[in-house]
Amino acid sequence: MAIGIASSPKKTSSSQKLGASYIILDRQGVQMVYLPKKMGKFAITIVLLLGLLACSVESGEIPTLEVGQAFVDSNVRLIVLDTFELQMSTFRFDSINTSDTDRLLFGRFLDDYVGAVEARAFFEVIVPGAESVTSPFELPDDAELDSVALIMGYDNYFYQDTTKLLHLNVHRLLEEVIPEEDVFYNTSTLPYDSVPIASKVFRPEPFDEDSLHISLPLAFGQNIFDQIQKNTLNDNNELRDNLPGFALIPNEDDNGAVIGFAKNQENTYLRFFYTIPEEFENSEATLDFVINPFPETPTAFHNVQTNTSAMGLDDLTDQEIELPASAADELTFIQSAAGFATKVTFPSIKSLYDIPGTGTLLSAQLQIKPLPESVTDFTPLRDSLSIAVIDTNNEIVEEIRTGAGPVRGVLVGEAEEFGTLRYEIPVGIFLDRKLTESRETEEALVLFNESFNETVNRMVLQGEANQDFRARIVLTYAIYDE
Amino acid sequence: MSNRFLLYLLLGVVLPLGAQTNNLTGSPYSLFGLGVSSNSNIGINNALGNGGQAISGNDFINIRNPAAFGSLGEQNVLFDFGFLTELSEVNNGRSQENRIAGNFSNLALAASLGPKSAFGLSISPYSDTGYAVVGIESNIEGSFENFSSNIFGTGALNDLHVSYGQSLTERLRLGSYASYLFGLIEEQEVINVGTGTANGSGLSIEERNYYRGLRLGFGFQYDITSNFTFGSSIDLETSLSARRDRTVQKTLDFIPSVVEDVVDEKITSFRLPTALNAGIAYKPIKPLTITMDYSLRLWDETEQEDNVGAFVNEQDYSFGLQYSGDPNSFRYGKKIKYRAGFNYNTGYLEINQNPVSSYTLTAGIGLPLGLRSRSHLNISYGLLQRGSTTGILIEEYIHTLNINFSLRDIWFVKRKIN
Repeated sequence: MAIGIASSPKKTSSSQKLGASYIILDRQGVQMVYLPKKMGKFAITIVLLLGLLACSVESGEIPTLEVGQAFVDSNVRLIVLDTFELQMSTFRFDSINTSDTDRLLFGRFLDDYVGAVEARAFFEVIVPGAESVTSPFELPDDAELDSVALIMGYDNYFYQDTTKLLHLNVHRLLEEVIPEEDVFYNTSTLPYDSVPIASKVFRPEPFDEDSLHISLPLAFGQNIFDQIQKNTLNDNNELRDNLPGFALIPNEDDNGAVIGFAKNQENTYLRFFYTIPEEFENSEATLDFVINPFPETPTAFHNVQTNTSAMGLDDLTDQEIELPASAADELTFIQSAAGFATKVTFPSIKSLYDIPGTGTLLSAQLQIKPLPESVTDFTPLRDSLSIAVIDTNNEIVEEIRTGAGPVRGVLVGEAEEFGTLRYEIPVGIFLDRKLTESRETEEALVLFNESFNETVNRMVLQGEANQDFRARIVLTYAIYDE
Repeated sequence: MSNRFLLYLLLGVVLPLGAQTNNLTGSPYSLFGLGVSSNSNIGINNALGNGGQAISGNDFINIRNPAAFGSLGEQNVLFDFGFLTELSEVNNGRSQENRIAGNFSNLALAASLGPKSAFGLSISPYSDTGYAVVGIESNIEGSFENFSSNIFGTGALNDLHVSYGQSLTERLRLGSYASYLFGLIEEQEVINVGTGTANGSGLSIEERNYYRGLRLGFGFQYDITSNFTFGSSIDLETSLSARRDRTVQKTLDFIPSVVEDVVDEKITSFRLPTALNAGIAYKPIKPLTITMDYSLRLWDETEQEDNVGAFVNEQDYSFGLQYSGDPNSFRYGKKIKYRAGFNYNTGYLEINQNPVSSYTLTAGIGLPLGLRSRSHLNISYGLLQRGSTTGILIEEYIHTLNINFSLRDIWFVKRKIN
């Protein structure tokens, strides 16, 4: 039905002259409303006004109410729960890749929990890009070797007590540095001559000095120097036949620090200092062998091992063996490079659905406090903690990502007294997936340090039944349908 | 201005208004039940304090009592369409807010079937929902922290009403109606946890509730004397079946995901109570009509619960006056009708034992659309006060402006003059 209001109908009629209005259904069934001229204009004005009014109130735009919250309740209940069961244990990664780092660890210290931590460095030195240089192994016939030294550049990393003396024994490798499976692990080792080429007793100065200078016997260097001069040593392969590489081994009873040496050729090298006699004044020159920056397979790595742990960590000889916190004074451990990590499982998470009503997980935060006594000036806490998902065999499956990036544990309460210091780790994404997975998996979380393969940082965490602070999972659960 | 232009203009104004969803209220009380009962009205009832059980239906469509259609007379048609604008002031005792809502509100038609019977067809809002409550603070159970939520609601229930009325005798008219109530009420709650352990988390629940149901009612009007009419009607209890679409989405650690997306799920139906209505219309002197009405809606019997408030029996009292002058006068001024009314409603909702009652004062004017015409432009203003600032309630002052065209004229009479 169409409606028309006409202010002045084309057909004049007597009724209109009398000022009446009519609804007339004409033959086409169209209903027309004829209004008197004056009233029609008035009506139209009103309609227009109304239209304007109505249009000015947009239907989608509802005014907000800042008053009235008091009698309005949310339809949703949020509940915070921190009593869900979790289990913590320590296990050991069988093999940490220690050859794709920029650092070589060296040193030894004794830890109250983990035991003796010893780092040994293995590496090969060559002339980089020798294949593309015309004659890299060229020395003037009259050049005379003055001295030879191994320069190990500090990369500023250290752990434990650097004020104590360390013994650095330089051994000649008996085999070339070639990995069995493309990479070297923290457990990898290579045979070396049991008699060291040189030994150095030193106090590490990772910040005050650029590098550690280890003088090697002239006899050791003369042999290589002479061969180059006589052109019997002309390329890297011939060099490897003579010198497969070095092993840096600390003394068995050292108890100091573990420090980091840079792998790069600017800071770490084997240097031959030699003199070329000239007419008036002799000129001095050097020949450097460095760690290959672009090797086909890695040519440098560190081996990090522990033993004599007071907490029973020595028994973790296989990745699938776990040491529950309940069997270790309610503690779990993380020891980088040596491979110790803390596993967290949530055996009864699905009982969250026993809460009446329909709900969903809005957040889950794992709160774990480090053992206060384990934190000292020599063994400080790091600001963050890494986390990943592991399967039943304790193999890392994936890392967890939130919308803000990879999940990290964050150290909070640092400004306050130690009692509140703890790591908070958002694990909502992981637990939500566990809650909704149709087929139950044994997936769990593993906590470990950042730079796990190139530090020896140690952490002691308080377990789920610890007296001081029990590790807990704080869940925020929303019930939207009672 | 040409006719064609005006036609387009009118269509341009009316059609989009009719097409959009009704949002005729901004009352926070529309959170409850199916929203607040609509302030919009057909004809003149709302100018008379919302009453009119006993008003005759020969000049105006009166859907308060289907028996009124019995007095439409022969070969008549009434056509009514209206607009509503509502300005509300909401007050909780500390702060006050204003909001405005408005829309095209109803369309109605009444037509004679014979000398003594007529039918009516109308579509109008039955109840309206329109609210936005922001910053609702609730405790996170098991902690000292709060979360904040915002609740938004919009929607309306519409009433497609078919009435039939018949004059049985000179004095008695009977009528009945069937009413198809249908509509959609949407509610969205957005929760922002934002702080503490649940940083980066949130929840959003969108519910679209579809209601529909049929309601029947009967009524009669009896002229006790020539100037005193009694009218009564009953609206039968009915159940509106409800179906719901629900989408629950959440953000967990900054990652959004869909928790639930359920379509067309059957949910608890909503029961509308039996309503018993009675009223009188009295004309002490010729131009003056006095109406008094009483309604009782038996919400108790429906045994329903709402999250916050309780349903209680609702009583509605209204009083109205109409001064008609002389409808047959040739002076336009004398044909204008003046109306005033008062309404008191006890409300069907009780929050913490506080009933949410309302008072309404109304005033209206009926402007004839021509000297010979019995069509009117009715403008009415109402001031409604609902709730109070006692306890946790809020008080609303709602100014309503109702404008409707009530068009009446001979339909089937052949045009004598061309």
